Amino acid sequence: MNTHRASMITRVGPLAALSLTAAALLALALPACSGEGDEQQGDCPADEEFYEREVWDAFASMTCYGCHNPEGTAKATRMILDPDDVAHNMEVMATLAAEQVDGASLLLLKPTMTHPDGHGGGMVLKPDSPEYAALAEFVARADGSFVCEDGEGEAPSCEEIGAGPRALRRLSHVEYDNSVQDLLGVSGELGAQAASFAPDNVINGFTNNASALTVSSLLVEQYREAAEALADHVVENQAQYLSCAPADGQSCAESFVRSFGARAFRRPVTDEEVARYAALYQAIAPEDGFDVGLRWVVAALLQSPNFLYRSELGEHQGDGVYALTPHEVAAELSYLVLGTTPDEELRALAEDGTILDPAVLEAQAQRLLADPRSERTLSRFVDEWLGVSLLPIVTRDPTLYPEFTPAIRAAMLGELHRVVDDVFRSGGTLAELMTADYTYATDELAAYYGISGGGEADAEGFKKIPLDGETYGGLLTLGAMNAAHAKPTSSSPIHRGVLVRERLLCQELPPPPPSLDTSPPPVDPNLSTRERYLQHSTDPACKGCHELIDGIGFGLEHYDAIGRYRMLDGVHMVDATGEIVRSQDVDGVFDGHAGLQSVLAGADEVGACYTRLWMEYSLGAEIGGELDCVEDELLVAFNDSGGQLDALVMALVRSPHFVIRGGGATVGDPGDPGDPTSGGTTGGDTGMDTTGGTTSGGTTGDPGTGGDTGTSEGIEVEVVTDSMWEQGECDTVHVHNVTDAPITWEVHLALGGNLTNYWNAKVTPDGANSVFVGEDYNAIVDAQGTTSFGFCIEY
Amino acid sequence: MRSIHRRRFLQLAGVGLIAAPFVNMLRAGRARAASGGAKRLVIFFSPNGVVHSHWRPTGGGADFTFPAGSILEPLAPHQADLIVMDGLNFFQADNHEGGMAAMLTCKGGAASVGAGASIDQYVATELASPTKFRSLEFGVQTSPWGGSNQTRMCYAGPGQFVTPDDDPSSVYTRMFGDLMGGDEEVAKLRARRQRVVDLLVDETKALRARVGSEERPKLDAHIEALASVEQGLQAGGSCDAPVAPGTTNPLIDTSIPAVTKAQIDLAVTGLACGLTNVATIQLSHTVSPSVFSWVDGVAEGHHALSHIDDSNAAGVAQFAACERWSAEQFAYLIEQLKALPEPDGEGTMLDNSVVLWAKEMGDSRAHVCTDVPFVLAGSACGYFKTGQYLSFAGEPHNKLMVSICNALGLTNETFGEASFGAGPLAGLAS
Repeated sequence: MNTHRASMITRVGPLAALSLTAAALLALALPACSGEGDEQQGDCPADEEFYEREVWDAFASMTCYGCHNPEGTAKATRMILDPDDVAHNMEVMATLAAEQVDGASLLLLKPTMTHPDGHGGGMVLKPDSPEYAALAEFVARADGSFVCEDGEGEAPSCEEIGAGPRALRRLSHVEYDNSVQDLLGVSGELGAQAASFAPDNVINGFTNNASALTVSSLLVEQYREAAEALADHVVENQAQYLSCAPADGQSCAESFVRSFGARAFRRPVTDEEVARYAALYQAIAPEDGFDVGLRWVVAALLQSPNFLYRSELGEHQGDGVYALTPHEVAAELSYLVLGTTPDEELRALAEDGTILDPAVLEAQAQRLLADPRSERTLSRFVDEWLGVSLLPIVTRDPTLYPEFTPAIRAAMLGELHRVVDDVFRSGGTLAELMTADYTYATDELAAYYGISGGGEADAEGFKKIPLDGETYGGLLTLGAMNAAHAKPTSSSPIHRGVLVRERLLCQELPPPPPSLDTSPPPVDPNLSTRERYLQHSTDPACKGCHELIDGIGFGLEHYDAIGRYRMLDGVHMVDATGEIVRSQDVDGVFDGHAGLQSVLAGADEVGACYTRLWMEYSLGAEIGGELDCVEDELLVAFNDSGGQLDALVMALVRSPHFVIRGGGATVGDPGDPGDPTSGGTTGGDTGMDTTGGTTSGGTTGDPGTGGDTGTSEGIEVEVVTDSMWEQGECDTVHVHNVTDAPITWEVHLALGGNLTNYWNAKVTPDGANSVFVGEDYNAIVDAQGTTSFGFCIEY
Repeated sequence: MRSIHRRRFLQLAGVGLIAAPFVNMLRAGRARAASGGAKRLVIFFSPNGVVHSHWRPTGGGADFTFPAGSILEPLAPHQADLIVMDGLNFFQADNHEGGMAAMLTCKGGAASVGAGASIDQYVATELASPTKFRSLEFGVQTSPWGGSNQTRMCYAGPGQFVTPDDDPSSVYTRMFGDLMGGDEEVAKLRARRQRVVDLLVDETKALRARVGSEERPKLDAHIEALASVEQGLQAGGSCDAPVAPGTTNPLIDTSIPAVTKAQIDLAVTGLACGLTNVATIQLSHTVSPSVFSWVDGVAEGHHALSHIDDSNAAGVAQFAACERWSAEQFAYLIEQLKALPEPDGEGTMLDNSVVLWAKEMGDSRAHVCTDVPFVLAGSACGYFKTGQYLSFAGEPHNKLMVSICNALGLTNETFGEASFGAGPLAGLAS
């Protein structure tokens, strides 16, 4: 705490300048965001408009229509939808919405699989999803219980939303390796520690979502193994890392902690931190000498949360607005573009605060973009965006496809990365990527494809080769795309159709309904792949969903299971005609890859999808809520540039989000409640009353909870809502002991929803209440003391 | 790997320090005992449901047989040690992902027994064994797709995955890395790692104090992870480390048989040495694309094979052959546990264990979680009446989990979502 304050004081100069910048940036952001669909600001959209936009287009046309069509598996139900008559669909769904079972609407019970008779299609909506929230509002509109309050039903303005959440982002495994390589100058196996780390959770195809990057006990052990191996290297090569004499012992160790620690933590190390590491050194070195002491210091620094988590917490400027520190901004930029720890130039600009000058920040972004290492960050995005990361290990039948060697697989990824990088660096657009008339291939890969020509080979043997557009040409024809999205023994119109739907159009496809026989067509040599799969679009039970998928996938039938162009599928001439249905604006028939790509190339929805997915990757977050405004800004910038791939980086760097967090009207100031495990609390800058004891036994500021009978005598409870969103909230509960004796506390709360998470307390249900008691470390609250716990609920 | 023997933990780091807490915790464990006295839980998983016509034994009750060529036939030598269960349903769950999530959690929420954790994690918490690892999660290609509701079956709480370790070499280092060398050397290494953990806890708490409530659970989880590693550094339990597993690339499909065997061997060693009392062995994951090319004639991915309908008898037979291979692996696990005497106890390790083979769906072709097949092995010190084939008429599998808890001496009457059903499954207890 003291350390934290002290560091604020030392940075008073740059911060004072920053608050002005912050306010200016925040104000600038508003017009772009609040303009969307709000000619009737303060009013709610009409029912028809709401239904079409939030229910039909958003999900019902995919999730429900697949079965609920005149011929689908749900044709015997009362919900039969018509893709060409949205008004009819609204009427049908409104009728069902009004029907109740045990007090709940049929329209909400069925898709969530909570109807007593189940749902033929299984669970297709989760109760915590935005789709469910939209459907719930539709039900309320249908039964007349919906009240349009000021702003309700409208997306909140950017002023209400603020500049995005404060965050801790654990290094992704790729960032960990890059950082270690740059910090220690190691390469090879030593610089590839993360190869043995437990893979992280994948969120919408991306491995760097900050909410999923947590540290398990398995990862703690793996971090330890890696850090100890790296520490051994440092000790063995210490001349390279020390600017002092080992003979100086403790003082040399301390100076190492300051200099190396500042680089590892991406900010100056506090005196308190130096003391911590010095104590570790001192516990070891007297017994085993400097080298061993140094080893454990390095090992600890590399396991420190200050190394493992990137901080985007900022410092409070008042009104819930947090300004990121210069060091945080430098790190944010460095990891955004290069995926690694800030270099010396960035560190110097952070040290004197000038990185916060928008012109300096932009110039630095340009400098990093020109660094060849920025290609690996882009390539990583491309791999996860297009789902080709597993190409090196996918199984393809070795007897059918002996040519599909590890070298060919690797060359295909090299090809894809170079084509995207070429478009990116030449200021090219997404449309150009979709229709590129060139590729990059090694001689071996060129021979594999049967293409030739090209200029000088690069260091890894890739030549830029012109393409005719007939056999190859454009993103979807690259070997990696079709080889990664295929089956072990055949092409797969399904995998490729799903790829286009989910990664180029950003449409989520419903799962196959339970009990429907989803057997893939057996490989019958008398039929082409297309003929086998055509069953999907003729069988009425399958058609509703598969016409979304296979019609697109058929367009890539000229590519076999290992990404080679073919005229024949077995003995059959390839028919690559296809059709896109139920898109926003690319519906229609097309012929082959060229036809498909030219339809997709100019489409707004493909640009919007690209923007969204790039943003998910770059922010390490799913878009929604507080990040909606950032998305709007980026999309405007992307479209203004004509769809240039490189427009997004600069747009993000220029956005308020890049330097400011918080400030949303609906999000409370989480402040700094101190460490509840220490048994104390602080008023500090939290802005809440923790000393007045005015909230005797009650709750404050919290519509989600109420009731407290049963709470220990002598305990006063204060509930502070830290964050609230449509489906739930997270609260901190302060437990004040107003007596002069310690109390083993118990707090009874009636929660306004289902408990989804809680911390620093144990909970047991008791009728309508939840009974919280402390963990071992905070079960007893001292005389006149305070402790706290927290929880999140889902309404 | 054959010469496993368990050194007494007292030899490790001095008598007084280690012995006292160990003994105390043992007593605490016994005090919870209801009727079952099993010491450990092992869960084995193989994906993509089943085709019942190739799986079901004939007969019923104590009088049943595994038809020739059927999936379960490789278990025939152990028939007297098994309870084969049919007709259990996952309530309010369907499809690959739903099944994977419900299989071991029984859809528990934060306020239910288990609090949303999977049965293995719940049991590990309740047993609170003072072992080096609270639990060990062994994987075979569970993670090429990363962590998701398709690839994870173990949960620390709602939505919190516990990640398996897919690499036998890594598992080996974690299990035995700080048990190598002389006692003094080992004690010193552990003491220093402990110092580092103390420092990391301090730093993590300091950081925690600066973040908003939404980010706090992240650091709480980190602190908890450090605590569990700390327990490992303090724990007793030791063996002469077995030979390190060979190095194969665990990501390649053709490595699956070797990696599976290595992981089973390591699991059994870890249990025998007292490094943990709870182990899960997860073969791939739901929607697994693994190609079992070592099984006769198989060239298609496991998931694709699992969805072949009955009109394609040859295709269904290939899927059954893959599942039979999985049954052979489960049989191998049983054999290994049977071959070892219970350390400091009576009978074999199998006699003192609960071993469960779980799947995430029933009929894979229909994407349903009804009639999900389960096989229990081991009598749990006589608590279970083994040698039975039981059919249940759509009972919630929550009850099976209650039976398992009771066999391990826990007294909970529900597990997971309580409204699905309470009490143990009828007919399992002897």
